[in-house]
Amino acid sequence: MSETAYQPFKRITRSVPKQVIGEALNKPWADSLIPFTVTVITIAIFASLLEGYLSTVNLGSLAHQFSETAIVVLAMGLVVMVGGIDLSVGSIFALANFVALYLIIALEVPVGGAVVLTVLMGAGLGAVNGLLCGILRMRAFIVTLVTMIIFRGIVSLLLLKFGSELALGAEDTPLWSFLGYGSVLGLPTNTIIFLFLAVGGHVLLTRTRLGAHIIAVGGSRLAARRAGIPAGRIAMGVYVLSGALCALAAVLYASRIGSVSYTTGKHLEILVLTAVILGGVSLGGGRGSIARMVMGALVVMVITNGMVRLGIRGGVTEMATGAILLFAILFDVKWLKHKDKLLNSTFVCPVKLTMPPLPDLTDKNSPYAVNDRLRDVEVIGLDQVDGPEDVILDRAGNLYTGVRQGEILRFLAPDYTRREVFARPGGRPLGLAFDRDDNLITCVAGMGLYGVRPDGEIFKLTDQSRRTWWRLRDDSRILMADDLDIAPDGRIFFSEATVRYALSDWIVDGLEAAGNGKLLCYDPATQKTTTVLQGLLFANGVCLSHDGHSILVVESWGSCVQRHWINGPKKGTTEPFIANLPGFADNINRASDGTYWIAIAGIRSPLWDLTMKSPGFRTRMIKRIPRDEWIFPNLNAGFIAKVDETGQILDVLWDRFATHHPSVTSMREHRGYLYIGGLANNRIGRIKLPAADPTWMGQDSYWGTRPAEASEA
Amino acid sequence: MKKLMCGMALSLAASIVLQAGGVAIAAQTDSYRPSFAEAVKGKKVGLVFTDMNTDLTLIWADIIERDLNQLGVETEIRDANWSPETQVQALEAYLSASDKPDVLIIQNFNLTAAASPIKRLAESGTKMVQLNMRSRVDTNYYVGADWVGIGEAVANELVADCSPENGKSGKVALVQGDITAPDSFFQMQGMQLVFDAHPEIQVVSNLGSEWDSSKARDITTTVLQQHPDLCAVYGLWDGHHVGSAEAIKEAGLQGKVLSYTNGAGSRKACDSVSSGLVDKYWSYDSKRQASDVVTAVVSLLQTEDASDTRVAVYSPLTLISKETLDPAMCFDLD
Amino acid sequence: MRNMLTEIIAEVLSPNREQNAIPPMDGAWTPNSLLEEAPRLSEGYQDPHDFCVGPNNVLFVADGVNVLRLFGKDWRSREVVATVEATVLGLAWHDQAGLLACIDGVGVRVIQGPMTGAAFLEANGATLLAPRAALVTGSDKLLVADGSRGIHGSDWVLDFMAKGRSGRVVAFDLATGKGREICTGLGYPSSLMLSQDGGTVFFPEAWRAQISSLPLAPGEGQQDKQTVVRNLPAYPWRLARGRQSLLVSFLSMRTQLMEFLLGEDAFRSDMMRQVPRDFWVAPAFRSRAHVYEPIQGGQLLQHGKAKAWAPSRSYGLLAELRPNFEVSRTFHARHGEEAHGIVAALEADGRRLALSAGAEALLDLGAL
Repeated sequence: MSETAYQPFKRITRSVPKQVIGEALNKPWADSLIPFTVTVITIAIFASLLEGYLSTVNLGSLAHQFSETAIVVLAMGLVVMVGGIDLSVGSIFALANFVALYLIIALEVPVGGAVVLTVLMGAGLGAVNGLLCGILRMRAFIVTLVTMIIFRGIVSLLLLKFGSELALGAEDTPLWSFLGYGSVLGLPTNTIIFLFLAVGGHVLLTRTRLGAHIIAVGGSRLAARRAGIPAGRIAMGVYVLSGALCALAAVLYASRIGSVSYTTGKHLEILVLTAVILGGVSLGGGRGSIARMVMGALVVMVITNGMVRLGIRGGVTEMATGAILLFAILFDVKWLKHKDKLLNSTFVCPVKLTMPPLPDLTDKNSPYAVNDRLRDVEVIGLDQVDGPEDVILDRAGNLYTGVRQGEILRFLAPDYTRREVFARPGGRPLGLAFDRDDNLITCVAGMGLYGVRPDGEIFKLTDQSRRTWWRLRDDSRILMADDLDIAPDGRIFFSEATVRYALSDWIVDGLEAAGNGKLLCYDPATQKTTTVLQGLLFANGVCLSHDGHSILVVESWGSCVQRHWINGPKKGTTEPFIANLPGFADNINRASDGTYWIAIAGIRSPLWDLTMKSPGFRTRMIKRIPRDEWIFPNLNAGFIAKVDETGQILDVLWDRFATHHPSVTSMREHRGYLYIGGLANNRIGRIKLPAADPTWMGQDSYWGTRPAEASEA
Repeated sequence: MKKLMCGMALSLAASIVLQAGGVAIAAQTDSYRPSFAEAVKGKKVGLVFTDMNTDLTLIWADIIERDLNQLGVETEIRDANWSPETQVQALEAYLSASDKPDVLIIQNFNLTAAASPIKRLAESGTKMVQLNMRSRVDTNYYVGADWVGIGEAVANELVADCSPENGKSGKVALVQGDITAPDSFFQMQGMQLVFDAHPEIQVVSNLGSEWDSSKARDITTTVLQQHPDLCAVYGLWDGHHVGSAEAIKEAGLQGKVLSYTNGAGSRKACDSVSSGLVDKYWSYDSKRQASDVVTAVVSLLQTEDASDTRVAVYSPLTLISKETLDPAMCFDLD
Repeated sequence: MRNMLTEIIAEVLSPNREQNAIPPMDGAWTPNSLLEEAPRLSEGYQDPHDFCVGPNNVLFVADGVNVLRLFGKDWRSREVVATVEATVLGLAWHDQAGLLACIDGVGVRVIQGPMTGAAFLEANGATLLAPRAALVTGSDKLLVADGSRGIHGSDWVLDFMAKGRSGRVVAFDLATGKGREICTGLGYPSSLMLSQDGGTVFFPEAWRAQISSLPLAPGEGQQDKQTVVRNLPAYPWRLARGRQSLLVSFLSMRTQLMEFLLGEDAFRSDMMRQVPRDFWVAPAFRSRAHVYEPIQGGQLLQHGKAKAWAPSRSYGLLAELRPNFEVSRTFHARHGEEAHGIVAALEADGRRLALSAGAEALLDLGAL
């Protein structure tokens, strides 16, 4: 079967698997892919080295030992996300540990009270950091370094004075031993508390306004302030929270270990920082998630615990942690800097496309033989239009066109020297058509399907279609609506050229050749947009056949035109209308004698056909050399073709020397003239068609003649 | 003739009997061997010390591993590297491991940190030897210094050497390691008893150096400046006392301010005494402690149910001073 | 998939690594339109390859199979002095020898003057298939630059695509016609220029984008060539000595696509097999604006106009160098302009002239 027959299944199965990877990497949760992979690999390595690593007993034991550290990871992670850093977490931890034990052992405060007091103390210490870093805007690194030293000094002093009183440890009251060694639902108490905090943190960050504010302040403090967010108070709050969390973790630690020592919490800040950065929480602030922090914590814990269990001597473990931190920071910095560039280059997934044999344009007997019939066009609006992609005329003969500036311009009949802005929909207006009520319906690339009433009022028809269920990327937004036509019952058939690229990247879609285009149908009666055809190689021009029973849709990169039946016995089927064009067709419109005009906007070359067969070459070309250097389809040459209902070429019109129309994207017959547009042109051309019906115009052909209506065009 | 024949017959009979008796003697086996072999077959011993780079831990690991391996017992070392957390992790890992060691040798950081895992390990049937630094929980064996005794002995020496009656100032400075560690805790108990009975001795400084010799040096320098008539500085462990001794030397007071300490008794102990950095060194001979541990382990392995076993093997002390110095008092680490 | 992984790793570890190190055209190389704006003294040269100054300030022009003589004021008069069997790729005039013509696929022959008929056709067992330049040194030696061993001069694009390094400089004895190679393994030498003292010969190596030199020592044996100018932004074609400067004309500019393509062996060989030669991605002396010509992104017309700074298949470039080979000024014809493919340039009668294959004209670049 020819490559150009409509074979969406083949196209889709060939291109989608590769695209999945690129689209996955571009999703927001892709940021978590790397820490997730690292976590899985680390656990797998140690599970293979240590027997029984994955048993419930062992996992429970690991959870029991590391939940306090994990809580401190949450604390540090939140501070880093708000754009700061808290190097004093270890010292707050040590101080809270001491205070909790002193309250319970020496002062015999009840456990509940001791916990509350200790957490409050931790919040207070955090408030010191918060005041200096959050409100007074001092450098977090230095401030927390200093508080780290000060708090650690306080611990040492306290140890000196009161340490011996605590040397023998605590009484095991039920609540205290429950905190240290109890379990809930099979999980140790401290793990339950950690999970609760983690879920709470996740909800805070992703679902609450406070969480959004935290991320905003971290992302750009200045922008957050300008947006009205009280950045200072938010930062202060996060430091307080961090202090409280550290204190809570220390209380749990005290209930489990029960000893005060000058080494408590030493180097905890390094361990925790490693976990946070390894998880992909950026040191710059504003990026990260609870899930990622937890993954980083898991990796660090598995590695340190694993190394101890393998009997590796102490210094090596610290070296390993340091090396991991270094690597994590290096990767974080590089990833942030080059993420966009990298993701862009993985998004494009060229696919092999074998074109049918190229019709020979140099053959003088070819139906496409080059001529110069467009040399003597009348020029309309020279230098007054920027990219008139499609042109259409109303019943009064006024000429409408959409331009690059997002406007629809109108040239007034009969001389077309007066120009005015008819409507300003924005985006990039492309295809144009008049409906039964003389509303100008237009496809606006970047926005969707819009309409303009005769008085200039703009209304939206649709900007969404149904999301393709098998695509990772949400393609429900119509990125690039191109051309349209209207069926007798009012349904609007319009093309979505490609679901993967915006208008500015049209060439990348061409180089991908993956069949990303769709034919959509909007029904004004139900206001629903449905997908009629998928897997089109850049769905472009759309035209209702003369009998109203089928839709002709152009596949630009396929160099072919498909006919999709919307009525009659073959309804719902698709067959080739023209199978093998020597170029890339754009718009297709009705001609006055039951035939069709097709604009061929670019010419296929032997080299282009070869490039389409070499996907690896295209992939490397896109990545390594700039866009201006890429092999492009030849859009410097084009022509207009007249085809009959069977797809036979009847006539071609070229501008051989590119005098006015090197490339043609659209043409419209109106009262014996052919009006010509071009996406990269700065003029509209008009040529007389001596053999055409001088009274024929599009609206009559679609909606029937109207009485009256004045001026001759 | 008859006498001769009788004698010959008698000796022949005797030799036959004796020979028979010789065969019976040769048939006697060493009955300990089978049960010993059974006891040590496939057994594993875990060593969990505070670190692996001080003289005590190195000689312990050396001797214990060498001797036990020779006897056919597998050994495994887990290094806590100065972190009580890590030691707890290592012990907890043993709790949940499928191939638990049969005997654990633990040197604690302090009285409380490892207490809970030790208790639970004991409940799960693991036999344990605490070495030199005990937790507040008893285990089957304690092998190590008698810290209370050391405290008492040192305090008595200080009383004798620093008493104002002997023309000294009576001022002593104590430099501890980790205040919550058992050696500090129990030494202080012993010393407090003696000092309570001798009010003429004044402890002018009793700070912890966190096992760090540079901290010990700073503390000692300050104390020397505050009390120029200080009589003695006692470092509760020779590892950090090095700093105090250097501080004394830098102040030019070597020989005038007495420098006392205790420790494992490695070569550096004898060297520091002979060079005058230390005046009196109480050695508990860690090399011998290691052998004591091996004995304890072997004994435990051969004891089916050791749950009631509570044995303490205190290390005898050797006082090394310029007068008593003998190279054989100190061991070398190879 | 493996490629994507290695690309990702390479991108993260060395993101700004040099991919295609073409030097930018700035400083003295800043583009202008001097060649396009230069007056055309005469036109209509269908297939020009070289020209040289003859006796009495006439010019000899190699145009296809014809050799033309230009004379009179501004060299406006012309006549055909010879027609040979194949394209004339190079010309040289020497008072003692005469007019030497380098003939495609044949060799070097004297077609006019004292030694008419003398032929220098082969060396080391290989015919001179791509003789591009002939230079008489001293009174008895003739040096010839053969672009490629085994590939005709008219098929030079095949040698380019194959990254050929088979070019050679051959020394002939004028009297006996015996030749031997004195330097091999060159990347398409298409010109020869003698140093002031006659002891060194300079030649461009087009495919290497550099200018090399070779000491002319007496005796046998290969000499060591040296690089004089390296990594030019275009493919140097001919060297000529002027009174106070050196003139270098270029085949065309180097583009990143071309450099990239030279690294894509599979695609390149597919292209050579499946696409007609005229439509390859390859440097060219002229652009014919055929519908099948390969187009690069920057070459798309905007509002009917070409972007002058776009990469281009053909390009007009002439560089003027100081005697120490530093570039002092350059003449350009940019993308969209016509005067591309400067096949040769020289100074004659106090004027600087250039021969453009794209404009099919003789350009006057001004008085000296």
